[in-house]
Amino acid sequence: MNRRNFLIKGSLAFGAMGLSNNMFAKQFGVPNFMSTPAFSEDRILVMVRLEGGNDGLNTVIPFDQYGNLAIHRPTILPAENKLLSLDGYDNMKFNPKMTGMQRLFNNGELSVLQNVGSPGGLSHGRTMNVWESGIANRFDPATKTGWLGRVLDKEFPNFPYDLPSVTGQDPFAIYFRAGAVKTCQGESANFSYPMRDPNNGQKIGNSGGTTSGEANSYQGNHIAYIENMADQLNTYGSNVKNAYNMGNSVSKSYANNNISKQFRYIAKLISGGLKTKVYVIPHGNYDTHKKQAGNHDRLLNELSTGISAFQEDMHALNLNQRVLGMTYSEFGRKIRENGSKGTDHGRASSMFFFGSCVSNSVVGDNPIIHTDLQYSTLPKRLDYRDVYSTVLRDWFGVSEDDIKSNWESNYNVNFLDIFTTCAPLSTTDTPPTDIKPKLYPNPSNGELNIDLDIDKGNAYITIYDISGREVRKYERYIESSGANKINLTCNKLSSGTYFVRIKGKDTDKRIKFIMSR
Amino acid sequence: MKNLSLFNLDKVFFNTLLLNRICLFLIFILTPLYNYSQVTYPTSHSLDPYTGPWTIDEAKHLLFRTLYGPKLDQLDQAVTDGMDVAVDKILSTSNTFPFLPATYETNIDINIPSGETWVDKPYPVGSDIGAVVAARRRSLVGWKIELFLREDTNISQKMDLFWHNHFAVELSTADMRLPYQYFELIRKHSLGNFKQFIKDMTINTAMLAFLDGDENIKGNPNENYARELLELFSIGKGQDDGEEDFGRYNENDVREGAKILTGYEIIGTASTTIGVPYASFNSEKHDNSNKTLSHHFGSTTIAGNGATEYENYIDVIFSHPDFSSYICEAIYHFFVGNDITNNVKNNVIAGMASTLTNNDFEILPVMRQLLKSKHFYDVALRGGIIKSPVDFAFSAANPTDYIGNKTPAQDAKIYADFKNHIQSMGMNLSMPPTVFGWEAYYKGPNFSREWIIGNDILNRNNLANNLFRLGNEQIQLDNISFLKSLSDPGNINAVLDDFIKIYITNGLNPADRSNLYQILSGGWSPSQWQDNYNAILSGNPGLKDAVYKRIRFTLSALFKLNTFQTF
Repeated sequence: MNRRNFLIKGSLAFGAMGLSNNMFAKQFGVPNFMSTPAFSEDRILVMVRLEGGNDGLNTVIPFDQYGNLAIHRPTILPAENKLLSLDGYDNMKFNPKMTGMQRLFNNGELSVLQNVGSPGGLSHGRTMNVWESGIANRFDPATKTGWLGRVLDKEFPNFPYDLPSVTGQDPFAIYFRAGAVKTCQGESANFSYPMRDPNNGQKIGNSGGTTSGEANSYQGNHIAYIENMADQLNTYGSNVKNAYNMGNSVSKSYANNNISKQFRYIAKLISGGLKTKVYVIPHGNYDTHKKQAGNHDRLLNELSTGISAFQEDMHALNLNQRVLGMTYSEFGRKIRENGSKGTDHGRASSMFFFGSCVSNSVVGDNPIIHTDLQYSTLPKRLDYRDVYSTVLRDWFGVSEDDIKSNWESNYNVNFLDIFTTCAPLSTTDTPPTDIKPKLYPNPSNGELNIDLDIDKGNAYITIYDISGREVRKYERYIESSGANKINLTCNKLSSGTYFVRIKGKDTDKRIKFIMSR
Repeated sequence: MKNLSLFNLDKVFFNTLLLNRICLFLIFILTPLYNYSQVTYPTSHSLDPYTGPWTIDEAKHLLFRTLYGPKLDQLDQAVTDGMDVAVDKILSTSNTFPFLPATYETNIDINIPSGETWVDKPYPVGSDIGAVVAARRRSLVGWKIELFLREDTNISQKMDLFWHNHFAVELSTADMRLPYQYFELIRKHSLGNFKQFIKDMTINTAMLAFLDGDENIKGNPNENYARELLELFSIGKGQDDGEEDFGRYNENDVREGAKILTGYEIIGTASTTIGVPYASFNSEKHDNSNKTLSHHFGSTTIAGNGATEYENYIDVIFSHPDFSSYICEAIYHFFVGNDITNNVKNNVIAGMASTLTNNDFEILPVMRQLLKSKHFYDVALRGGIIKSPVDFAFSAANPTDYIGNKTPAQDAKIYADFKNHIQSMGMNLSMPPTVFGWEAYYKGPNFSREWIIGNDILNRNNLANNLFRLGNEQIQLDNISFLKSLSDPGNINAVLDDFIKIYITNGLNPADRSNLYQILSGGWSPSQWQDNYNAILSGNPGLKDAVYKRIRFTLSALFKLNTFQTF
């Protein structure tokens, strides 16, 4: 089979699946907030892969239902008076071991997404595959690729013949393990590069030697593969090592463990000029079927220390506008503890985003803990594909069409409000001074007036509900820069709390309001 | 010269003068291409007995796949024996170990004399349990390495690893006698009855500890083992119909299974009085209600039946009409090839599954049929698997008849050295990365290519260099003995041919052979080689080093060849 044709065919197949029913896209066209091509900004995503299924309920405790939770978790629930408070949110608290992440949350640099799940079931390998491929149907050929890998295949269709221009001779993604991460798996090759120690970039000597047999045999295929691996290793290895040696890490808050070490590596690699755009850190084992308390606390402590030390480094190295982090795990755990002082696999759990570009601290309401549960799990309320879609659009600038065609045709994307875009690096402008916009009347009965300072040009206005779902979209053209008033009519918006977001040239404002009918 | 059509660059426009250089450059920059879009498939998918030629190539294929490092005389013997006898010899295994893990750190495991085993002895009273566990762990792992090095001329070592990967348990840190019992159970059943094996493994102490069976109690079931029993160990998933159903069983079966399996405890962990820990049934912890399985198992009710209830459950699982294919696929991946095409699935796997079911789930008839089949000897399959770290290490060392023969303490260090190298190559022998086993055996589409990702190949190169060090407590293959065991040691070309015969599948291309020849000769002509060899035989010590070095560098280079990574 001609591999190049197969690549193109693959792209078309995804494109054909892509027509979605999203009425907003049809009604308003596709507002592309990014005028530059996808992945061209100097933006980096760090993913922490929490392996084994993180117990969201003991990580972000729904404090308004502490009593009910205590009924189901008589031994493993952390003590009430030890939980960590979150500014502005009385109904949720962090696990006592997460002081670093608490600090970030209170500084507005950490976002919690609640009740995120997938349709993937409760089996480690299978469900992690669903999370990393973004595909629920096991027999869809797309399940062999990763959600990010497919997008990258679209942006860089000649990979691996041509390396992605945005990263040159540096790996597009780095995985801190001697293996490939499914997330970055493309149709022909994986965009991630396995690297445990950036300093250990030994050159592989000439290990050549083809067989005297057929090149088309299984053996011949393997031998070609090994040669490729060796040569790639040499190229990427020396680039990574150079960046590492030129880079820097300033924070003294890292701990002495693998995840801290890997965060430190990332700080050095980015500051050393490596063009890699995605880093994946494995962490675990979160599969706390028994004696959860000690193990899970230790893991959360490691996670929290690593993340907060890294964020400290990002500020100190002036990289914080460019770097966004997130966690993911294959599932959560059941509400009720089991007979071994642990928990079994459950469905939904929390996800975290961290970085200066996070703007919405909590997405999604608290889970509901009933009293009369038996082995039951939290239902999914946010879909993981919505989270990925938001990252792709708002962080990497991928078009909404490309995003929608990345998933199965029966899936309708809902973008979430998680973070603002940080100021584009291509400009040397200082961020606009923050004159607070005014919204009135508040509560509103359908009419909204917004007074704000905004530049001439297109303004895109989005209204989100309390779960972070987009419910309305508008476009306005601003005739002249300066003080302006925007008027919106929101018919049939039910009573409740909402956010309106106004994005224009150099403007990105969010205002909370209440609809009252 | 590589066959460039493999990569279909015909549609890309290049200046033909630069074609080779640019294409090679691109190829060298490529990340690994893992799919078999152009491959020569086997011509035979029949399990009927192979009746083709029986030459050194067929004998090598059999022995490379069933032993770690067959020696030259074993290869020659297999050719003489013919296929039937050769396979029968390979399958003549013993159910017990030739030797047990022995103590040598008598200052820690103080009650046990040096050289005696600790597997049936209690912990010493008043000692630091942690230190004793650590010492026994070192002893256990060293023992495993020694078993590899001293492998017998049958398949038992490979079967041991196959089952270890299949029941991928993280070996307990609490008491090393548990992992020993686990290995002992594997050895007992490796070519025996799979149903009985599963039953015994369900209440094996190490398994109870690892998958929480010992804490799975009435009223608060722990689903860990119940799930893996179905998903990974016995029947496997069929089709996924949704979040709750897996084609051959569903979530209900996992939940009911957990209840059925309640009640077993481990007695004697880390005990200072009990010599052999064991599993014990506690009826108070057992859920003795009736359990109803799903329609996949005919909605059968498993009545409460105390200590033997789990056996009834396992009988029902095995009665599923599609029971046998999962384990047969696992056997195929380990012993035959990475690519289960539709042809393979519908003919080979289906045939193996029938044999297994029709023989009341005895493994031996399946292996015998497979190892004597037309499909197994198909030329397309030779060299079609990339070696695991243990395949790599012991295919290099064993043919030289390497066995540590120093003091137990020195040997222990050498075995630890092997173990560390193997671990750095990505295989921790006491801890498969997950309960799924090592990825190379199950994770498509890469399968055995998973062994060579990222830095792994560097670590293979390291071991290739380090097999010949000269310290007292370091691995040092005895090249001179090895040389003397070859067919015509004084003839340099025959020596090289023997190396290729012993180590390489499908031969070497002329360029590689020539390269190795350069290293082996080190400037000597063939007659100089002959003379120098004769001199060694008559006891001249001066030339021993020179010959040793030549062999050392030749073998190092050979072990680094890409083709040596396949078998």
